[in-house]
Amino acid sequence: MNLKKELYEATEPPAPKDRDAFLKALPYPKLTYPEFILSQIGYIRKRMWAVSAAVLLVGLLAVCIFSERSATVLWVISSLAPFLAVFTAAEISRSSIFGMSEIEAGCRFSLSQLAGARMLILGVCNFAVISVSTIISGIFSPFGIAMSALYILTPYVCVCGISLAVFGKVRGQDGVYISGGIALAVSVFGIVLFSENKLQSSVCFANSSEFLLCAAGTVLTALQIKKILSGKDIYYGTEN
Amino acid sequence: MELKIDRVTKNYGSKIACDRLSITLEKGVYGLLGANGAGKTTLMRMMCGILQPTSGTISYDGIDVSREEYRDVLGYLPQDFGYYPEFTARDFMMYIAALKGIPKNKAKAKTAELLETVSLRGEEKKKIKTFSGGMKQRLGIAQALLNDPKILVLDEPTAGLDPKERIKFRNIISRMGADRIILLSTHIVSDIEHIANTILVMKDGQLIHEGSLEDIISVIRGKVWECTVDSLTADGLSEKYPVINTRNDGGNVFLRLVCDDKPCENAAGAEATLEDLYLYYFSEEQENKNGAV
Repeated sequence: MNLKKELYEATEPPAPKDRDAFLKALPYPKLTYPEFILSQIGYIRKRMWAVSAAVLLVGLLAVCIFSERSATVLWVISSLAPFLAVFTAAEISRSSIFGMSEIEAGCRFSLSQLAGARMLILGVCNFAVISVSTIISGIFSPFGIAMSALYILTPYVCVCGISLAVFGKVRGQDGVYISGGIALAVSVFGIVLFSENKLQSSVCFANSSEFLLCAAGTVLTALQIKKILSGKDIYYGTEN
Repeated sequence: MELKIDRVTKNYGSKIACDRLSITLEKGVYGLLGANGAGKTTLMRMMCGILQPTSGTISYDGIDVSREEYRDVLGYLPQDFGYYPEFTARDFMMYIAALKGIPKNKAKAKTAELLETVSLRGEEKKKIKTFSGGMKQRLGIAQALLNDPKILVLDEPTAGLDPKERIKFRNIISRMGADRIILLSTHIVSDIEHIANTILVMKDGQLIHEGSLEDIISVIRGKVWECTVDSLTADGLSEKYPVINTRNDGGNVFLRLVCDDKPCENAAGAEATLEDLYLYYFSEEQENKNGAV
């Protein structure tokens, strides 16, 4: 005789009580910060990826069109860098542009952690775009890698720093228009000031002035990033 | 379970939004009443750890509100919130769930359950920009509940909801208040009257009253009057006392007002309500503001 089986058949287990509530109340593993960063890749707007791809494609196209070693390749990529920067700054500052800051700040991963995640994702993407663009320019223009990096980075960091500062001060869509205008102005300024011939003939002048400008832009960008990551001075709306 | 606010002050330049405010919240529903500019939103933002007090501390079972562990058990509905234009209701919920650290599978199930609760099932694939104010508000309420919060802070949650939805929302909150701390602010006094176990009244950045409905109303018990008078007398009484209700009654005017003594011969005492108290406290303030302008 199988006692175990007999006992099993002789007794009827009680019906489950509050089973659903119990299951719902069970703790579950929450996302870690690296997992959270990965989850945010899907929330980067498609146009951000499109702009990054466009910068690379236009650079490659310039290489194909201007097959000889020409300054035009660098000139083209450098004039697109401000747009990459302004799209990046807008993506990082998206919460304040669309009035989501307050709701996001009350979540487990705070607003500064969210901005940090966006910066990391876009930073890696932009680093890849700028690195490839610099290598293309370095190979296909007469300036070499270092000068190419300087000419691409200068408009990028300047517009990035200024745009982040603008988004920190100006609320909503107005900040987008102002930053877009600044990016356009920097791009046109670069096109006019460093046109191909001038680029060819002003390497020494550009070296020093561009370096200073690049350094100033980098410092401004770093200060804005520090401010965003500190989570201070966030504007949520009316103060009452 | 204890949320302790200890001598919290918040200044905006020379303006004091919260003035050395101290209170301890335990399980239950707390209703926060106050006129515009009383400091309600500032207090709620500080309670959510998204605004740093100028001085004082706020902690939950010893955990400072600025810490991640605290935000993990917090649900917050701000007074005004935006949304990303490309988001559908479901995208919005899934996005907030990620910010709350909820894994995707759990978030999907919770999103479906909460959209059902706030009557947005069937609308989850629609973009939020096509939603009415009430639908957007219901979505806001749903996102606050995603992580099954132990502390729920709701700033004007019933604004824009129709009466049926308001009652449904009140019932949800009442049920939830049994095992968590819920603080809600609203100008709809009847919402607080129905669901709050404890009512907090704020004025000029300070808590001027804290207690049950009965305790709070006792302040104006015997000071609420109803009378029917001619229009000239009605004008005079309206200028003198806070009028809660007025309506034409034949050729005369019916008035419900709050004052310390009997306002006129034919006035009869009436049962005091929370709305009477609200007007009693804040009509004077309103008049002062109007006077200042």
